[in-house]
Amino acid sequence: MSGRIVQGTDITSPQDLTCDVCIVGSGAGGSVLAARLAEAGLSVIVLEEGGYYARPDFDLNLASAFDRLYQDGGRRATDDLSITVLQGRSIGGSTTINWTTCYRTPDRILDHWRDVHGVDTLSAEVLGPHWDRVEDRLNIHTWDEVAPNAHNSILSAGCEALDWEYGILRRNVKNCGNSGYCGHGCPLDAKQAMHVTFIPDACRAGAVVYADVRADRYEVEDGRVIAVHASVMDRATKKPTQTTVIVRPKIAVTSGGAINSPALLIRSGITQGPVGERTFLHPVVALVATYDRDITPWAGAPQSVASHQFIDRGPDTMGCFLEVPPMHPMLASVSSPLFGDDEAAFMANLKRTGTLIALHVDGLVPGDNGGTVTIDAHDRIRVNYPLTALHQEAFQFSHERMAEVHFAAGATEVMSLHGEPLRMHALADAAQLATKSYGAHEHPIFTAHQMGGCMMGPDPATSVVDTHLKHHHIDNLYVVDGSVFPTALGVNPSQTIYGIASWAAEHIAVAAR
Amino acid sequence: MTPTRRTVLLIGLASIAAMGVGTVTLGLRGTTTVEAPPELTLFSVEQYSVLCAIADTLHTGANGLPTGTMAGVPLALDHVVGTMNPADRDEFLQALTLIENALVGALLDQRTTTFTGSSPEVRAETLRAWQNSRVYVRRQAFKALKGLCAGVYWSQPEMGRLAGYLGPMDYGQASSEKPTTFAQHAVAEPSEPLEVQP
Ligand SMILES: Cc1cc2nc3c(=O)[nH]c(=O)nc-3n(C[C@H](O)[C@H](O)[C@H](O)COP(=O)(O)OP(=O)(O)OC[C@H]3O[C@@H](n4cnc5c(N)ncnc54)[C@H](O)[C@@H]3O)c2cc1C
Ligand code: SF4
Repeated sequence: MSGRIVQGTDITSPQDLTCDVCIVGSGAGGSVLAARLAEAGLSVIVLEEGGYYARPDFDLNLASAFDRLYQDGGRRATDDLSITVLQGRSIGGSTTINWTTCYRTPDRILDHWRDVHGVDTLSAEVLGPHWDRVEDRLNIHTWDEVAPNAHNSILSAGCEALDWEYGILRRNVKNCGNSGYCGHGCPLDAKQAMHVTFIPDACRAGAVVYADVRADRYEVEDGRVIAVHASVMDRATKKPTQTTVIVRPKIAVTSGGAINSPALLIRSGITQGPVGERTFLHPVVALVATYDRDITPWAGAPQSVASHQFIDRGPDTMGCFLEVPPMHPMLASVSSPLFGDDEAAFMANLKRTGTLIALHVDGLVPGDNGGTVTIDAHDRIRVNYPLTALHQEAFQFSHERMAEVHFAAGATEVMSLHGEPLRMHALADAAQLATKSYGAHEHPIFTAHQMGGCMMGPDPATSVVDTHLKHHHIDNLYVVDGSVFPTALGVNPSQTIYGIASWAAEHIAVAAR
Repeated sequence: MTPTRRTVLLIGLASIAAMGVGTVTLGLRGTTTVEAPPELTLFSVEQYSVLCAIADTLHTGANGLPTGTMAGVPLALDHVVGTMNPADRDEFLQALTLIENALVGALLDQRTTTFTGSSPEVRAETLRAWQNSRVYVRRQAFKALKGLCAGVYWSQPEMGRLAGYLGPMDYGQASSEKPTTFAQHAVAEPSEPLEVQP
């Protein structure tokens, strides 16, 4: 097969295709898998609902970036709108717009998956060689060739002063120009995202990647997927055209990411097991502060420092880790509760404003089952994520810790993002954070890390795929993406997904022969 | 960006009834209208007018910035909302009706006029009441509207510049040459261009 990318506008008549492996989704999981399987000599077709955008298309305008590169144009949210869900939708998936932080899966998480969820196939030893190869291909390394920008230096300086753990992050970049536009599509191809690495690798090895083609449903007969039914999407309206694509693969793989992967199974009537359940989000809360120096929170590599000081807060509490987001004006205004004259004043001072974020590790405390994905009567994907007392306690805790960091780093005013913000002028004022409410619609909550929904495990009653990622009930169906995680990770997820996809390629290749 | 999905939807008439308003037919009669641009494809003149009033309350024109309407927020939302799932779209339009309606305003906020017929101060108080309401669905509705309007407003490069944000530099990304315009650090090697074929 001659490898290439086919775009929606190039598909003018219905297609009926056959292949060894059809992969739905071209993100972190789908791309690595496609490259490995194509390199193993298998015929591979990838279907991606988003468009094919690359460096010449990245105009760095946040509005067009969201429209082209994010699910629902950046407007995806949980059912009650309390959590904004940032997730990618283009060739490369969320890696095209992610912030490049890379971690191997922590041992304590792999141990937890083995001990609590019966996942005995994955360990640092098993994944190690796969991570080595991925790190090599994506140039993942500790990004210490350039000092952190002023924004990330808030976190390092604050942790240093408080004697808290922090570290310089590892990033998948090559010759990064420190521009700060990772979330808009890298203008230099310095970010080693999937659309410049594993997708080209896959194409060079013969894979055919269809952009603008959405898998609508699997057709199942006698316990096997016999066809993937897909629609060519119109890029402007994001609605299906009349043109259809049918793929008849030996093996079908869902790599649509958490939320969309369980949604595809549900739409296909493949509802055995807890599909859609245990969806985790690493829910994120933020705290802003004013400094008497320029922070220019939009400039420079978005994430280069993190602190895991509070990752493990003991039993029955939710741990968190601290990072720094890129704060371009649009993100800043959308996150802020202010409007009218107050907002104008806040934005006028944005250059001197720093933002810390706390990402909360969901799914580890017994009884914390995360959220659910369902499809409603209007064919909308609904993500229901209850914010419980566990979250509320953790959000208050992380607000208090972020206030400490801000003041330790020299902030002159720290402001919570509550509907009625709390303005603090000294650390002692942070005690008033205890008087505020936390949770849904009390303050902004985001997620850029969606996990779970097609959980792996040995028991068909409590998991969707087995510990080799094969569906418990459909013989030739696999799920390979962040949706198979039994819990959240406590670190940024992309490298775990790359590693798991590379590992899964070995046994999927055997199954496809 | 932002959470516009399922906007206020949950805040539909059923919710209002549950709030004790009873069964009423809420419309946009009595709306103080503004001139609507001919490009509108979704909003009625009344809906557009309500959105202008909301956009101008969120972005008042302070600090030399343009108002929401001047920045074209309501017109841009005509397109954005038009591309939403029809159920989301209906819920969004319902939210506009609820904010505008004088009866709802009277019952919830002691406001006796329509939103469009209110002074800027009363409009700001109304939105603040929605933002901090003890009724969850009103906070939801506020968040959706604020997010949509702010997202459109601040995504415009001119607004960013007024916040000291000069916008992206020219990184030469349209060129297949190595970029040279941002050489603070070593420049990237462009990846091999992929052949795009039918
Ligand atoms: C703004 C942002 C910043 C982030 N920063 C970091 C970071 O710094 N470090 C980190 O580790 N992680 C980060 N992440 C998260 C990380 O990128 C994701 O966890 C990871 O890419 C998920 O991989 P995946 O394969 O599960 O799904 P994705 O990479 O999201 O790929 C799924 C793909 O499948 C496509 N798809 C879905 N359904 C269908 C369908 N039915 N038919 C066809 N195609 C379909 C989607 O359009 C998408 O392109 C970030 C994410 C975001 C949004
Ligand atoms: S900081 Fe800029 S140059 Fe570096 S990877 Fe991100 S977008 Fe690319």
